[in-house]
Amino acid sequence: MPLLEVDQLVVRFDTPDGAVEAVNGISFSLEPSEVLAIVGESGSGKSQSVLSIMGLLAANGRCSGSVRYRGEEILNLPTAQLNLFRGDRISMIFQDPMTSLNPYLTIARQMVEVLVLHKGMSEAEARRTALEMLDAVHIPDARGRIDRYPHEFSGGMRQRVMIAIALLCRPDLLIADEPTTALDVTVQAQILELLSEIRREFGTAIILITHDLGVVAGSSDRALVMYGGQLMEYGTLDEIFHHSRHPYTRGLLRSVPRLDQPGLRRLATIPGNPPSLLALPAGCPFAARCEYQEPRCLRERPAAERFSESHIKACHRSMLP
Amino acid sequence: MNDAADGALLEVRDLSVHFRVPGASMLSPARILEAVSAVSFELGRGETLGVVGESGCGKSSLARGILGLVPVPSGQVNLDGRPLTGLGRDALRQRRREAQMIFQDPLASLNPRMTVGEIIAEPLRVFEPRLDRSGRRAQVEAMMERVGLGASLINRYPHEFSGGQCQRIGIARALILHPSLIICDEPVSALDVSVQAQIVNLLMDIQQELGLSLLFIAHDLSVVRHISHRVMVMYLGRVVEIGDSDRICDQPLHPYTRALIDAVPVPDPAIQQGAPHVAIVGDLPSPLDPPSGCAFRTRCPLADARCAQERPILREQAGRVVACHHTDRSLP
Repeated sequence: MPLLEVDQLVVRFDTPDGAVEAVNGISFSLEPSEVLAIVGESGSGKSQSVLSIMGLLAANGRCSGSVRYRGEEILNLPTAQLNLFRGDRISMIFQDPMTSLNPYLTIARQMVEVLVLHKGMSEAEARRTALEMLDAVHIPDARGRIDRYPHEFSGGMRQRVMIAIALLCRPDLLIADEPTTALDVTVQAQILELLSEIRREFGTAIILITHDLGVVAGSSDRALVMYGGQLMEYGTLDEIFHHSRHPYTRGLLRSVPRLDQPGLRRLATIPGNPPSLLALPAGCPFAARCEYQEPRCLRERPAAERFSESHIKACHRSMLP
Repeated sequence: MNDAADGALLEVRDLSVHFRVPGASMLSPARILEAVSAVSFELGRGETLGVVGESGCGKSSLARGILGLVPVPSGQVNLDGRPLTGLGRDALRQRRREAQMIFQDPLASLNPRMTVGEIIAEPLRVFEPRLDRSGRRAQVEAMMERVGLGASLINRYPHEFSGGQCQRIGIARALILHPSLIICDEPVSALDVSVQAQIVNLLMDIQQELGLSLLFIAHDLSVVRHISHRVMVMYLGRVVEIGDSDRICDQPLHPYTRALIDAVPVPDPAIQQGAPHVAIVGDLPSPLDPPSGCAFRTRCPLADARCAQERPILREQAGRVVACHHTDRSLP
């Protein structure tokens, strides 16, 4: 049985300007200890899809579809029931560790709270476990630093603390929303290394939300590409990076400058701008920017179709040159 | 034109930028943060020099120091053979038209209450007050077309534009006075991947067409390599390596440059998976209390006693300039 099965997930927001269709029917599944990258640009719906799974949508957000954790439906559960999973079986870390840690509480307080609540540990036992976890995420001198406040840590160390808190209950699934975007590249490398170590050591499955194709290439098994709230392509890394069947994925890969290639050449570009989620086109959200556009693309949304065991795409064009 | 025409467009000599920050406690004296320490380099005509380094390395302070936007305690900046440092307010202001800047956050750097046309025309109103309204409008429209905006959008407001379009507005504003130097401070890092390539191409086209010199500041080494002829790597306010862009990226010598390049993920799983990425550990030391000797030694796998005592000076080696005692050693 898959660890997580997401089926036709839809997320909408009611705003004064009309309904925003943030996520339009995406489906994917995750095996235990698998790393899935969800890739997309701002507004692609990548963050909202996981926030809805965690029951963390803004007050004006509604979601429908199905999300099953080990076969059990968890989408739209009442808070009390959701809290049995959240933070315990499924944890989440965010882009900016400073805004997700409570600045008024020491690291110890924030960690002990989780264990007392979810595991019913005593304070002393919880503190011992917290220290072990800080060691596991390689916080130097954890014993001396556990009673400090978040602002006394650097950005990279704060992200390590966040990861330690997320792992306290040994979750099966860690959702990481742009965990390295706010960090410098040498620190990013350290955090990505830590995430792959966690998967190895604890067998934790990870959903990694990112806009950086380089990060995807280095640290995941499969990738799901989103655009305008919809799934564009979903497959193994080899399928996505080397055998992509979707014009958007291909365009994205071509437009990224690569450090291993000589410079001063023109980059291939995708013309135009991403669509407004307030006024999504009737057809494929990428059609207006797509070089392979056909009349049908403007009228009809392409359905996600499976054309090999692991490779799924949503595009009317069956073949690309 | 004077005889500087054959020389470099921009010469920076021993430029330092200091900030006063409050003392550790209320009663202790203010401390000096050395954001940029004695940086020297030249930028040729029609050349792009990329400046890379992690946050806190002083790359943005360097840009502000060059343009006189922050006080510069020591050092000399020459633009087109004439000094930019040591000028009075009015003299500096007059010379600013030769050097313009493009900022990171495209929307925040545009006045939300001015139309696009007014924003792009503002430098003209300041520096060419005798130009009449229709003359100004003609120039603004031509510039909007040049940066790919469409002159029909002239009466729109910034919030009506996407991030990429706002950056085009910022570029048009920077170009309207025909400067010889443009300093771009992280111009594409706030943009989506698919839009980033459009702006990088636009900057490259404009540079070639107008023979501009670009100082391109960014933390993303892949973008910097793509757009720059030469690259300058900074760490804690100092230059650690500078040279031809392809050479620095393919055969870096300074351990920090090597670590930086190793850490950049390449969008190709065949290359990326299984490759060792963590070349250096730890975080940037506080710039208020930089390490003695070589500033990088606290994170450097090659550091020894000499690195703590003696600051390595920039010297020429293997076709670039580098500041390290141990460029001959390989990383563990």
